[in-house]
Parts: sequence; structure tokens; C-alpha cells
Amino acid sequence: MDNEQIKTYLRILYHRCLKILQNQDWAWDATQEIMTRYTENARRTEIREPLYYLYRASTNHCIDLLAEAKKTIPVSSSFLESLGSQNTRAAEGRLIVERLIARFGKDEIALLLHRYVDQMTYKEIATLYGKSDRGIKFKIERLEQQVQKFLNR
Amino acid sequence: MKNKMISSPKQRQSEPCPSELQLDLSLLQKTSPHQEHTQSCSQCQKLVNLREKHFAEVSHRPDFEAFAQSIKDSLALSSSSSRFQKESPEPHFSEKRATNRMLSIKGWGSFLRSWPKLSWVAASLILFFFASDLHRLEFTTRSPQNHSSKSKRPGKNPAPKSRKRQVSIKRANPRMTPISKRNPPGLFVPKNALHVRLLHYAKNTQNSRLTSHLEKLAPGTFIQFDLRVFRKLHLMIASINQKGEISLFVPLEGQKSLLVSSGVQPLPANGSLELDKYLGLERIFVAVSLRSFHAGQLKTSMKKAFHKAKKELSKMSLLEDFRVVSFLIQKVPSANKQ
Repeated sequence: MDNEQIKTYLRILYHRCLKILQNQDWAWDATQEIMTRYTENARRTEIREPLYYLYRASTNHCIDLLAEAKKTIPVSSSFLESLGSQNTRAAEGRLIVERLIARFGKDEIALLLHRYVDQMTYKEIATLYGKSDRGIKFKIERLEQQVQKFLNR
Repeated sequence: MKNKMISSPKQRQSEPCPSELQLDLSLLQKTSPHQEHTQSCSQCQKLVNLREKHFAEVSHRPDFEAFAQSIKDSLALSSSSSRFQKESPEPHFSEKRATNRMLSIKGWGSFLRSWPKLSWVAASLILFFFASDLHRLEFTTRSPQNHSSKSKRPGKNPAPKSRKRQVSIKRANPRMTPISKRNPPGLFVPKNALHVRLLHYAKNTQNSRLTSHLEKLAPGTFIQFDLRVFRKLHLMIASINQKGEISLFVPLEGQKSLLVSSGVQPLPANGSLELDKYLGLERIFVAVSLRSFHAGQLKTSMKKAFHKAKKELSKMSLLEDFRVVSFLIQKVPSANKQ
């Protein structure tokens, strides 16, 4: 990896972390943390797809930070409308990451982030996780139903 | 919600809008397959503008260049070490020898089929060995009874047997071993009970930065530890240089470990530590234990590890008696120049 490539990765990571965390200082801290972890892991094993690795690592790290700070998941109000929630403000209040993790699990929240914050297709998420796109689609659709129930109860 | 630019994927599915992952991949590959679309689509235009804004924002950070350089250095270091591992011929040689020696079951089957007489001989030999083994087993199971009956007979001395050398196993008396050796203080700390980051703040810079592996730091740089502890722990931080000189950081020149409660906290709590004028490699150990320990115990353990690693600091990342997190730094006259 040359210097220019590293800078590109840093920019991509920062943009992604900022989109999830919505705080510049947190995003830069997270970027440094994730990149340092990447170098440590690269010393032990060969990482074939650095971008995919960084995507997953940043998602997990940002979810941890959001849960620790008791913040909400940064999805749009149109997502909530698509789930059929009448009172979007009340629904927003329920999207606190800590509670969502307790209710659905961390991996499921990561899936939601990939789908609704990163706007990734099922195929891309499947490639990221090394699973079939049909399986991922089924999982996300079931998760949507569960979130819908959780928000409208 | 604040983030209005994010639309739901169901809306975007109707148009062939590229996802962020696709944009990132094209950016890394320096291609632009989505350029036409992004110029015509208003939503994508917004997204691209936001990305560019964030990219410019992070590029203008004062420590961006330095951090990128440190990542490059550590990646170069890791690639050189992995190259060294690849070049060493020993594992390939041993694997090859092992595969040559071993024949698979299928291979044995085909070999015996081609030599029917030999297979008969082999089968009879196996049967013979089995029979002899069974005989031996019987003998060994009966032998204690025979021995006891013989010993009861008066006036008959049993024939002297060739004695096998008995290896006496000396077991250490637990009462005689000191408590510190019986239960090493740090061994029962769970692996994920502690997360530590080392931050440094160089003079004439605006922000503190995360310290990476083999980071070059100048003497006089301020350092601080960012702890995330998940249970009550006793902690001590010490460093060792290439000469084997040990200096205690936390508690500063204290003799007993510091009790740290669970949560996120910086260490030292109000301030930072200044690096001394020693130049060269230095390894900093954050040692933790469930019960309090003395500086002497940690120093002994560090010295032992130092000698075990043949005075190479890069090879002594662990201590025998403590759960540790360690950082290897390089002290140079002025940072990032050498």
C-alpha cells in the first residue's frame, strides 16, 4: 500500500465514520483506531480485501461507540416511514443503539447500518459477509419486520 | 432527523444509483464508471458532494499527513517481516518430507492389490502381532496376583528381576513454594478485561495522536494512556529500554500497584508523562492483576522476559506472570525524521 492509497483509505474511513457517528472528532478518533488495528492485524495475517475489512471493522467500532454514548442509529425518517411508523419522532427515540443491540443483537444492527446508512445492495452485503445474497435478503426482511413491530408497539 | 441526505434503499432501487461501496471501489481503482450517472442524478450529486466535503475536511486535519506516514511505516515493517517468514525454507521442507513418508489408505489398498501374495504375508504378520499382544496383555493383568502369591510362600526367594530405572518425579511441596510463585498475580485476569490506547502529544502540534507500533517519538513528547477497564483491576505501567533499564510510569516511582475501577479513564488522570532523553527502542508494559502486587514482582518478570528474548525488545511482548498490554516505541532525536 503506497502513501496515496493509505490516504484514500483514511478519507473513506473518515467519511464512513462521520456518517454513522455524526461527530467530527469522534470520527477522526475512530478512523485512527480502526487503521491502527488494521496494521496490527496485517502483521499477523494477510488481508486480501482491505476495503471490506475496513468496512466491517468501522461498522463494529462505530456501533460500540454509539452504544456506549447511548445514541440513536443514524437512519433517515424515510426509512421509518417505509417501516410504516406513524409517529416518526417517537420511533426515532426508540432507535437507541444500546437498546437495539439488547433486543436484536450487534450483527443485526450492523446489517441495518449496511443496508440503510451505506445504501448497500443485498449482493454487496453478501460479499462483505461471505454469505449468499438470498440468505442476507431473507435475514434483512425478517429484521425489518421485527424492527417494525418494535417501533410500533 | 438530522441526516436528511440518506434515502431509503427502496427508493434508490428503481434507479441504478451506485452505492458508497461501489464509489469507494472505483475511487481506489482510479476508475469512474458511475461518472455519467452521478452527474445527471441529483441524489448522487448530493452524495458525491458530501463525500468530497468530508474528504477535504479530513485532509486538512493537522495530523492527517503524520498519521498516514506512521501507518505506511508500520505496514512496511509488517510486510518485511512476512516476507522473511515466506523466505524461510524450513516449514516447506518438513511438510514435503512428511507427505513423502506417509501413504494414504487408498494408496496402500492399490499397492496391496497389485501384490496379492505380499498382502497375505502382511495379514498373517498383523495377526501374529495381535496374538502376541493379547498374550502380553493377559500376562500383565495376571502378574500382580502371581506376585502376591509368590510373596506369601515361605522360604522361596523369587529370582532377581532386571529392574527398570525408575524416574523419581519430584513434586514441589506447595507449602514450601512462595505464594507469589504458586499463583502468578496476573494470570487470572480475563483477556478482554482491559483495553488500552497510548496517546502522544508532540510539541508544536494541535492535537494528541494515537501511538502506533514502532512510532518515532522525540524526547520530551507527552504521553497518556487511555484505559477502558471492564472490572476492578490492580495496574502498574513500566517501561524497559534496550539497555534493560526499567522505569516505572504509573504509579510514578511508587512501589505498589494502582487500583483502577471499571470505566473509561485517562492515566495519569490529570496531566501526562514526559518521555526522557534516552534514544532507541523502548517497550512500555501495562501490567494488570486481580490482586495488588509490588513493583519488584513486575521488574523481576520484565527482566526475565528481557533475558529470555535475548535482549530484543521486539520479541518480548508478553510477560510470564502478568496479563499485559505492551507498546513498542522508538525514541529518535526529532520525531519522523530518521
